[in-house]
Amino acid sequence: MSVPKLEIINLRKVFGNGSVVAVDGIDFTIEAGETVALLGPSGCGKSTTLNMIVGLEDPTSGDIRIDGRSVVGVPAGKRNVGLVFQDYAVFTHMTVFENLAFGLVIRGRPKAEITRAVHDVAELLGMQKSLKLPAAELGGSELQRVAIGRTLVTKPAILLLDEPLSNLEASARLAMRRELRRLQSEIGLTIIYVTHDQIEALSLADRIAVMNAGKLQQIERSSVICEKPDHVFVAGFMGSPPMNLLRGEIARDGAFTGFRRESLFIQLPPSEINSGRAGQPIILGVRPESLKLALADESMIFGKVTIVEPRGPEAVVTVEAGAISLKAVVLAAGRPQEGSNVGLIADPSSFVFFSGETGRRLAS
Amino acid sequence: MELDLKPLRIDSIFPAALEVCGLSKAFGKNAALNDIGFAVPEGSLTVLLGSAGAGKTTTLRLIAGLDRLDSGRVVMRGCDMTALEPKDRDIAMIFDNLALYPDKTGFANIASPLSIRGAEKSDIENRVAQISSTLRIAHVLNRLPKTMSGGERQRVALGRALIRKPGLFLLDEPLSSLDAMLRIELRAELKRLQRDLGATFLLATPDFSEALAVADSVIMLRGGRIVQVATAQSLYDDPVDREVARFVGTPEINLLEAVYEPASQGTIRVAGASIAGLTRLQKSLPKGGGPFEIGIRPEQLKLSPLEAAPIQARVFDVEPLGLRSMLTVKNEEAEMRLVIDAGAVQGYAVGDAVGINVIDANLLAFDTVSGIRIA
Amino acid sequence: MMGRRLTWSLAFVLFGALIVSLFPVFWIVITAIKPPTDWNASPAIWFPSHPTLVNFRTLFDPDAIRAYGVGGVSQAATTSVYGSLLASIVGTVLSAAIGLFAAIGISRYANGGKATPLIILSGRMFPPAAIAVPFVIIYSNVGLIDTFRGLIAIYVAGTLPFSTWMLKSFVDDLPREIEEAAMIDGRSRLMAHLVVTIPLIRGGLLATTLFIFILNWSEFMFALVLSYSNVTTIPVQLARYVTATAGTLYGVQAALAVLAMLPLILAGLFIQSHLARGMTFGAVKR
Repeated sequence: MSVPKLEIINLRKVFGNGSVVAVDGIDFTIEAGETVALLGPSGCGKSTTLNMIVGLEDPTSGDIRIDGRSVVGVPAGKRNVGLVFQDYAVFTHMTVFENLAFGLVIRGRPKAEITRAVHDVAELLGMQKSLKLPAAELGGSELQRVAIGRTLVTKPAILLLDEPLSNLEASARLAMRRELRRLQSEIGLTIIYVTHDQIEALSLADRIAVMNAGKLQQIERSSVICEKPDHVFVAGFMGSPPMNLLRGEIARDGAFTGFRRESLFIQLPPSEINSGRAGQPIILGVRPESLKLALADESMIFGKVTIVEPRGPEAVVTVEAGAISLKAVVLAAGRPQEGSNVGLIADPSSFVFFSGETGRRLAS
Repeated sequence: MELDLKPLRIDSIFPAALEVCGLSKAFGKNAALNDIGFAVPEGSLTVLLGSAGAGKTTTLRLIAGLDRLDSGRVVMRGCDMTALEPKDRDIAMIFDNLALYPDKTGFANIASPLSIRGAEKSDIENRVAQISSTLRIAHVLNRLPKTMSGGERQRVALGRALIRKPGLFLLDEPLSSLDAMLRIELRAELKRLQRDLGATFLLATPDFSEALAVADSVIMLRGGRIVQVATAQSLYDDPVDREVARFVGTPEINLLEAVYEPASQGTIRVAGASIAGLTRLQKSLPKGGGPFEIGIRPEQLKLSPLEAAPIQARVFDVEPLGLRSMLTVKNEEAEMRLVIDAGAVQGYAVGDAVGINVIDANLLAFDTVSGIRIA
Repeated sequence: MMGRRLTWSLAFVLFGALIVSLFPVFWIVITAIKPPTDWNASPAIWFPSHPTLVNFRTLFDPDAIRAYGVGGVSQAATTSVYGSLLASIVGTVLSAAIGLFAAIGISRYANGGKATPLIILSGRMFPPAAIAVPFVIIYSNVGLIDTFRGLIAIYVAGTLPFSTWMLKSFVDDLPREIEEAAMIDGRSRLMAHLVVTIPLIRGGLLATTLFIFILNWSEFMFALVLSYSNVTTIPVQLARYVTATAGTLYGVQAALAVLAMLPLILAGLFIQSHLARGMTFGAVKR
């Protein structure tokens, strides 16, 4: 059983005499060679967690172990982790070579070793021709490569990137995502990304750790997390648009069991979820992609189209009926007009249920 | 071939909320804007779309009067505003960095357009209370901007713009500083607000999905010129040239070399295969055949059984996108991107051979030299 | 210096430097409170047994001073204190005000293009000694010699490069959109700059003003050559006291020096607290 590369144990960070709890007791481990994304909205604690792993902040309590050894209290420079800043922080007064060599020069390595290491990294990143250029002349994605290269030269145990794509133009992002994935597979480093953008997270990470208000909501493989969100927060965060979430209860209508919310009643096939839960608060999750347009008599819900947001090949349609608002993804060609009345239908087997009290997903 | 576009004309007895013509501005040697002309209808949300440096911010600043134009006119509801200072132009502006007064509370920020013009104290208090309750920011009225969250600051900036009910709202990338989730939430709110108030919004953004989601009409800018004016869906379905087609849509459209051979039923050679049956596209191509650039959106490519598929290629890259994935495939002739369900992608690894077919719906054709759309 | 501990050798060097730089100040302050009998004592007296403030009184008492010599030597310090206050304060206020408007013009409207700011800066590149004599000649011809107008004009011109450039960096740091938001809200351009810009850079404005005040208050060369009898500043008066019959005015001189130091120390302390952020003078921000 190999030692995990990174272990976070009950990590807590509190600011200002206990008034601000930035990180509220999170636990997770990352294996060697894995790529994990810390994903969440502003203020969720992901950047604070990153800073504690790197060593720019000290935890209030809890432990951080790299390769089995606790690094709490070890200064940042001695932890053997590399950090790529959001705005790269490349030394603009130096050439690309000097930037890449910086980490080793500081550590007093011999010149021959430095030159070889820099050339290796430059080749990996495709920067051999730019080594002599002053860093001030480079564009956004090249600066980012220099920033990444600068950390790679010191062969860190873990590479951390803070919002790596947010400063790039939309056109450069796709190319950089592909580049980062290639680097991941070629060098086999353990990598942690911090981001607020789920596309970034899904595209780059093996596993995604969704954080909210200082807590870790779910850490799961990217391919699975959209299908099987563990918690309403994750369900309402992942996906574009995110899952529709309706609060209501399981109720009986004559012989039928179903989901009720005010005047809406959706009949459900019998299952573990339904039996024995009559009257309990429950949250029904329906993916916008699962909702299809239907005629009035076939539909589960019938209401007015309030917003149509084209997306190119498709459109996101918001349908409101009373206090209920649902988003559905439909093909652009057949999209309804704003203000028209439509019905929506979905296959009940695609529904996901969450407990109305805890927010956790109920297994079906 | 030069593009020859006329500004959007509004056939109505009422003058458009905003009309600009012949707008030009140069900064030193850099011609930021070159003869821009367009009209913004009353009560609409019009988007100025373009990448960085296209001239969106310059246009907004000229309309606001913050910079002096080199030539042209700015006309609002029939009145020529070109010579007027910003304060006399009946506009409100939201900057990309929000520009809230850092040393004033939320209340003072929102109230400033009224208090500067000497409105009655009780009037001010009523209006601020009304606006802050609509925007749900009543709880930050006593706080300074630096203690507010990104979304709250956004709404305070909105409140400051809305309080005077000006005739035109100029928004310069108002959502760019917010993170992804908040951006999507707030843009829907912006649209709803604009709709409910019947206000006229002119919004600048480099994000085409934002433009698609909220715009009544989109003005596409490139290099200081207007390239296309259309509704959001038309910009996607009917781009005027290859650059517009590339800019609008994600994943990016596939632009491949193709040749139309009109012999017998007609085939199109692309990506190393001859594909028959693309009748809708063929109908619009010049009868004599010849080379052109074909634009195939990722959703118009489908995986097909290897033996029967016209195009053979190898998987080059797989990018997960949540419930779907983007597959990049390559053969000697071309590289293509397509989108498939995440479940379907499980079986494919980099290097696998796949068969690709093209769906005959809404394919685009561009001139190889000029890039202008020919079909 | 994170992690570098204070070694004994380092402490020794720092302590030595402290002694060397503070000793003259100590000596001046001690001498200022010595009674006349202690001024020339040999061996030197380190701590007077009867410290007194009589020197400060003598400074402002024309009759007492007259006893010590002729001409400038026997002047009471009163006129020089007034002179310093007038020239420094007016010069500083004017320089800050003109520099502020120049800074706004250069920063917001690129007035003067690329060349003008550099021309303004170059004004400081002339060593005062090199241009002192030409100025004496010019001032004599236009009748500005020995006038406060003339001296203040020099003080303003000499410190404008500092005030313009320092204030420009503070104005640069302020996003221009905040003023523009005010213009859209209803302010005229001028009012937007006055009402919005100035309060938001007040820390930097105060620091710049104090900095220029220190420069003007300590200025010696021009005050010396451009003044004669109507205009005197403290540094000039101090110089005159030096020519007193050797050794007879030490205590009084020291007293004047102490008075001269006080505003500088206060200004320096004020700058420290207000310049906390501003000392980076517009360092790169994201």
